[in-house]
Amino acid sequence: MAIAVKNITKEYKRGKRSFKAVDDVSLGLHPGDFIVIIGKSGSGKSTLLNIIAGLTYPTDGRVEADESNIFTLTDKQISRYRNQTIGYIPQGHSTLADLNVVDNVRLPFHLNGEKRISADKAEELLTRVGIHALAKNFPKHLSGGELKRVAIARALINDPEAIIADEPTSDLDKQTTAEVLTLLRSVAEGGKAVLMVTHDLDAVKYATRSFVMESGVLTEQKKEAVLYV
Amino acid sequence: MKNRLFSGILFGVLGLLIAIGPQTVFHVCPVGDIPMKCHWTARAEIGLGVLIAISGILLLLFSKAQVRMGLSISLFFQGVLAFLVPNVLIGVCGGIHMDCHKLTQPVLTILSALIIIASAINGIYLYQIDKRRNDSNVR
Amino acid sequence: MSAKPMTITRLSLYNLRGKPFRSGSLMAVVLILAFALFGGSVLSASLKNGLSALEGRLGADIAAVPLGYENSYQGIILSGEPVKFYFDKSIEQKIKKVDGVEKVTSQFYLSTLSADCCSVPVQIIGIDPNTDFVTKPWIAEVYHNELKDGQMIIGSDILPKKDNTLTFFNQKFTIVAKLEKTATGMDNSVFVNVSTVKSLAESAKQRGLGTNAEVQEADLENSISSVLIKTKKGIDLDTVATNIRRSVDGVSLVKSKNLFESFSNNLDIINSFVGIFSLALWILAALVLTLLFSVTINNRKKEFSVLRILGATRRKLAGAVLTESLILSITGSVVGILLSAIVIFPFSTLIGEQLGLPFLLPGVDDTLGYLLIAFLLAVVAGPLSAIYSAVKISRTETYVTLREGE
Repeated sequence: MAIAVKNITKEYKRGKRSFKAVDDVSLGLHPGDFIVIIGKSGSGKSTLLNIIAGLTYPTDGRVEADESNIFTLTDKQISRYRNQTIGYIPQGHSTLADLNVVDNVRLPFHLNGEKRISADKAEELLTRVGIHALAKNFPKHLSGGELKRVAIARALINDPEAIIADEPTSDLDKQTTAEVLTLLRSVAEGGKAVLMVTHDLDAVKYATRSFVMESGVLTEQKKEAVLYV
Repeated sequence: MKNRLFSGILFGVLGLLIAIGPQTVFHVCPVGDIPMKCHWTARAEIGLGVLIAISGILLLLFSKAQVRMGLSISLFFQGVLAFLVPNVLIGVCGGIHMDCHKLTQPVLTILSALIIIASAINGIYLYQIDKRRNDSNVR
Repeated sequence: MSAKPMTITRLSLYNLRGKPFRSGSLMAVVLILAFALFGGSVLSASLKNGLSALEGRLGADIAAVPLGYENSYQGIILSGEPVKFYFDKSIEQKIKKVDGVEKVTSQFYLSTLSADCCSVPVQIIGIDPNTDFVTKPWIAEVYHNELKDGQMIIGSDILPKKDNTLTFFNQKFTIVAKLEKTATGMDNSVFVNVSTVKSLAESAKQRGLGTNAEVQEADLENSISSVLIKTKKGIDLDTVATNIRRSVDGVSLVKSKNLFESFSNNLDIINSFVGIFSLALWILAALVLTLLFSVTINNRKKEFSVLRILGATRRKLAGAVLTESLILSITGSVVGILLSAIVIFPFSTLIGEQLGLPFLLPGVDDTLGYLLIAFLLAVVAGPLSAIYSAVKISRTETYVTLREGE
């Protein structure tokens, strides 16, 4: 198992009332999984992703990677976890505007002090996501779908165990959405655990497992049953 | 295009300053009974300054990188000459408190140094552009 | 393909390059600071140098000149404006007898026409080798023998001809030594012995060359221009001056101390102005930079949150901010100091003239010292101002705050 999410609960206080954004969620990420979590805005799915990425600390529960709870790690260790163990695809445009495509992709490779040459690996990944021709371009010249591909290539540069994608198709048209989902599916088939949250029902068709999140509670769905969301 | 406009205007202005400056803004010593060294320096710089300004205008007119590179090389040596005239070849008056010595000479030196540096940078820049274009043609 | 690793420095460079206007304005602040710090310190040091050169050259405690010529005498010392004025030789002996006077010597002033090509009028100072105590100490730095007839020692701004001679009033002089630069009127003076200057004046008078009423009317043989006085130790200068005024008529007295002090006071004002101005500018620059960094960092929250998500440690985020500020600071300082040097060094003569004060550039060692200090002070301003932003950006999980807002 790459990452194990165990009984995560996150409480927020709104005024005097507290409410659970994430309520006792457990989830295992295994190689080859393409897990899709569907939920409306405010259902707690983003909070869950932040917790899995170690960006938010839960009120209760553990996220285990390599048998250890990530919330007991130092800043340096948890940064290394984000850098090496997971590949995060943030929502929206997340490329750095002042770096060209290939530099964007190879950036995480060097964030842990790696000095080896990375351009070849970055270009290989760009070929894999189908935008090698754009390697020298700057993000402002790329379309939304192309930017997503850059983010996917970037998430893969350190060969992580799991890819975590936060609404990767939210601002894409139907065809581009299909392309990106196919790409993510192929990443999962290549042996990674892929976890994505979305409110796009179509994504379910690509998933190996699908969940619905509502008021912080995660429920696994049979594929046919999610249509009511 | 940006480079063409910028370099052309830069050398045009610098050339005009070298040509007209010693007669006006940072003038040399007035001619007394006999014209002094600085008078001849100022005269020589009129010619050189006009030449530099014309080269600058030509930089504006020509778009081909190689032609502009040639102009830059020529500007480089014009700059060297504009530097040598007040400092070595003709010089200025001896008294350090005289206008030409305390004002004209340093200004001319700085202006010509600017021309030398700018033309060198422009030349190298154009050389690289030309090389890149040739490289891509080969491909 | 670029094969270099994407280090934080490289990332910072790319960020700066990507936002030329932002980088340019931040750099401009440091540039102005470095320009002012270096320029101010060199300017202030040059004035200090000029003043100490002046102090060293004054020599005499009191100078007696013909009534009403105090300012002309100051002109010789400060600006080298050529003058000629005379009174009777006997005054020297009268002053010598005054109570409290230890030594006296006389000088004879003559100014030339613009003689050779390009030479401006030059002050000729005739010294009396037998009694001279004023110029001897510093002439001795360059020339050890007594000045003979037809020999000449020149100030540093005077340019000799190739055969090491100068011609004044059709008489040729051999130059035996050149004085060091003092930034005072001495630089535009030549020194000869008194008999030489008198024969020169006599021949000029006879030929009617470049002489004015003073020279025409003067009984040159029995004239001197000034009496320079050294007072006895332990006796108040003002008392001696009063004594002289009582016993000798028709003289004006210039006290070197007063002359020196008026400039010294001016200099103190200028120096403290430079100091306060530098400090104020430094604080202002630091404040402006802090503000600019803080604003730009706020606008770049998303960029930093992405870095954090990709696995940058807090320390790395702070490092990125500080590196950017350091690069800007160094570039701004180098350019600022360079511009300052381009303004000050080639135009030092002009600046000195415009200030009307003795202005002597510091030596290479001192200049390098000022350069280093100005550079360091300007360079630290950047990272120091960025610390607040760096700490702030590394403390907050911006991604979370961005996402939770939805």
